[in-house]
Amino acid sequence: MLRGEEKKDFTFEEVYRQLFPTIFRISYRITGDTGIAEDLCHEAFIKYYERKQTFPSIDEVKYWLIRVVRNVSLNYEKRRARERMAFDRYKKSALTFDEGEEEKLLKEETRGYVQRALDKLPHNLRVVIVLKEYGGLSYKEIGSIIGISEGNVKVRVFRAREKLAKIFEEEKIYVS
Amino acid sequence: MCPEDDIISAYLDGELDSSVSARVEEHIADCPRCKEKLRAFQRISHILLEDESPDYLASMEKVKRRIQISQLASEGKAGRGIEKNSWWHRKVEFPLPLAIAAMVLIIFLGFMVFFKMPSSNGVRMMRIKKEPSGVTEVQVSAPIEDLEALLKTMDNSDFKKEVIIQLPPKSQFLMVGEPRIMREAEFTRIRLK
Repeated sequence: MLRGEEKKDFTFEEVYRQLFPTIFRISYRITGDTGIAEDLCHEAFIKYYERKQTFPSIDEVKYWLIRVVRNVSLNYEKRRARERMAFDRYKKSALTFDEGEEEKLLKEETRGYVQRALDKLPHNLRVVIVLKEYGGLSYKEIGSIIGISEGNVKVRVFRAREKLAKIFEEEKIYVS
Repeated sequence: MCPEDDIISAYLDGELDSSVSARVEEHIADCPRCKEKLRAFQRISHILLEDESPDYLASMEKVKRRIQISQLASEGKAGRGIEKNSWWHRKVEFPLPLAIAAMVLIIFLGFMVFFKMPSSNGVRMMRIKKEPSGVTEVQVSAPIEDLEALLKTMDNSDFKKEVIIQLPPKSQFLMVGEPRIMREAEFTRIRLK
């Protein structure tokens, strides 16, 4: 709960029930993987529970959780980039894939084209467009969550849209 | 003169000042190129939102359990013990039948302690049955020698309960002194306070 002594309005369970769907949706769209999205949510809510701080509103809690998800997802992003590089090297040197790699490829295949397109965006653009489209946040809110100006948010949202338009076009999904 | 594309994108998001927004709207109405740009951005938004996200309910439940486990583990490590209501209302879920069985066992053990049942040395077998009607049946298998003590305990106990003593079907009793138990293999004793 929001630590009874700090905030009496809502319990941890209420916060969890109310915010999990949004936090999970954002986590999934940033990482493109349900398991990793669960890991991010787990970490975010644990950190929230352990934090001895009051929040003036449930929205502030949401922003805080999203900030944690975004930061943790950066670590995941770096790991994924390393894995991808290692996998590319492996593909060049090996004739066959082991089961794990095959499974990964299959997962990649079954993932929807929308998620595949999002995955192709650089992390800084992906986070912003995800927060805009799936989080329903304003430029101001996004800017304050990730620590950039509203103008910067505006540019990133626009660039993300431009890139997505190109990616969809390559996939023969026409947006215009 | 056409506005920059990022302005059209911001217009779609309703992020422009009202005066700027009105001018952009006016321009878009008369400019096929900007109209098309706006339509493309709208289409991208629709594509993103139409894509079905994975069902969060299963994940919600899974993560909840993981949080509870992590929290209990960290509390254990810190040696803080479990404070009542400090975490998720301290609700520990386990199957209902198990809960009922545990409750019945606790009641029975309580009964044993408070009503001083015949020495546990004499109890060879105990079976607890919960009837669908809600009646809890506690079957105790005790040696014949302990029946006297059992009856005495029931006489001294301060509760209203129906007690059925079922003797082994092939029991044989000698008629010595004043018989406490009649020849019937079973009798029902109702003690009203």
